[in-house]
Amino acid sequence: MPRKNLPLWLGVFFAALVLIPTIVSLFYTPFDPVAMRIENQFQPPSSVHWFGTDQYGRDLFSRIMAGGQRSLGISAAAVAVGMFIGGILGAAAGYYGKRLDQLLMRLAEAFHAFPSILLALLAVAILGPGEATVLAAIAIANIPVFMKITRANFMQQGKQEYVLAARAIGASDWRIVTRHILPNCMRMIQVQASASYAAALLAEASLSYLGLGVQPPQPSWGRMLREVQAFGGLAPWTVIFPGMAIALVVLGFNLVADGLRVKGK
Amino acid sequence: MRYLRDRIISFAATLLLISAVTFFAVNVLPGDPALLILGTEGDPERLASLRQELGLNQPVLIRFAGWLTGMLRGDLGRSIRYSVDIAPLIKNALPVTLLLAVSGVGLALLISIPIGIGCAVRHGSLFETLSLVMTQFGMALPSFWLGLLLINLFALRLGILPPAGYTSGASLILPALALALPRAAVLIRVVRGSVLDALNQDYIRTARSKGLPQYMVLYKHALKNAAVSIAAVSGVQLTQLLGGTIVIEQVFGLPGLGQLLLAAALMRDLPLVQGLVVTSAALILAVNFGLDLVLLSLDPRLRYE
Repeated sequence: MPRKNLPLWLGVFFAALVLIPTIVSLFYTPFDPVAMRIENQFQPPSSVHWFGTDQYGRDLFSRIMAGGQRSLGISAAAVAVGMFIGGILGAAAGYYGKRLDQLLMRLAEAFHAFPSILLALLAVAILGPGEATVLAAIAIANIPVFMKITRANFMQQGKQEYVLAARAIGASDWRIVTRHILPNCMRMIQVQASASYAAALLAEASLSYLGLGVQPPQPSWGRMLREVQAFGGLAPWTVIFPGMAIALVVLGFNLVADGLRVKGK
Repeated sequence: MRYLRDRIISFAATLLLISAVTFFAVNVLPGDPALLILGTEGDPERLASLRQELGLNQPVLIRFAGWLTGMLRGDLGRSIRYSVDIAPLIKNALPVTLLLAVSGVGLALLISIPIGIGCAVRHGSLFETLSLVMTQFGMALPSFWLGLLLINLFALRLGILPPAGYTSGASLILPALALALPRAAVLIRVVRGSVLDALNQDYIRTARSKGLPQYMVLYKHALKNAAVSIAAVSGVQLTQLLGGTIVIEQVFGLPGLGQLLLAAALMRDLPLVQGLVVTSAALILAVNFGLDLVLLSLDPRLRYE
């Protein structure tokens, strides 16, 4: 590494600030994130309750730790599915070209014109609200994104001499794609995956805020903001901290994407 | 002209494709839409009458054709839950969403153009570094959280703006600001990048050497060339908002398309969902189409590609 990549490492740092407590919350939280103690409601931040308590007297710090489990998990699964399907379709379009390419790109354009939130509401109307619906909607929204980027990379790489050389020595399509082209596209796919993950986290939070995603009693950042909305004036900390968790992790992955992009050049 | 014709054909084809995808997603994927609307506990007689009302006894292609021709006449069918025609419902909610989306992007442009130009002119300065750091934070902010914070500050603490509801133009200030800030963060980077690019061109040196004052160089020459990328990015933001103001409408209790769609999706009012999704998609495609024309007039070179 010639220079220190500041965005990358700052991004890793911010993301870790949220990821590590979330992982820890699988085994340990200071308080039970779902136990209600009404006599304890709206405690401001203190040495006992670091982020204060909510309208049911639940410890906000514990809830924010646990709230990341579903948000981070659903977003990761959605991006992975979108990347897998979009990657395969994009590779096929870019590698084989012609008719297949035109057909797939026309479909991708149509889907791309669709804001992901519209797609999510269409999914809610058919499947009903819930985590699976949100996962499916974010995954579908990511398919054209990865399709376009894989296609562009495959078209560009497909013209390179090393591909011609591999074909000349009789390598199969499968071998050329997996052993030669794919490793050369990895950087761009990593950049996109990181940026898509940040966007997916925002989308998941928005949908949970609308009450369409994670359902109670399981805590989630978006849902928490929905529930405390009426109390923002009385207990501002209940609004501030869950939003900060979302912003911090999104900032982290955006910076990682920036850092990888710089590193790739 | 050939370009224009191609764009119109592509616009129509994409709209047809989206209509078809929406129709079949709502009518075919769930199996029996009537069962989906009433639930499995539904009374068999009501199920039968609903099937009749929705025309489910007819083949699906006939229904699709009927729905399409209805739309061409401006008839989107009837809402099941509200028992009224869908077209007027959409007509009432549309202006709120349009106004919100346009003012969100407009405000974002107002914020980002001066800051972006400032960054490009003072390339390498502390101002630029600070602005770029701020844009990273801005891009990470969930706009609904920003909305909640703005309500807290301006409505609850300072009491100078209404917290929610749609009564006057002032009701749109905070929602537009909540939408504008994250988008301004993206636009600042675009403005900075494209103005920087333009400033490095030969014609700028020529303009400078013939003694043109700085503001003329910036606003007349540099910004004109930067306008293509600024228009392209803000146009995409506008299309995203046309289908994506829903969360902000919910935060501020605004009666726009998003609120209508959210209620329709949760109540499984399938005809209304279908009508709203296609309306939004048509709006988005229309803006895309207009955007293409704007880009063409900004950069005539695009006509020959």
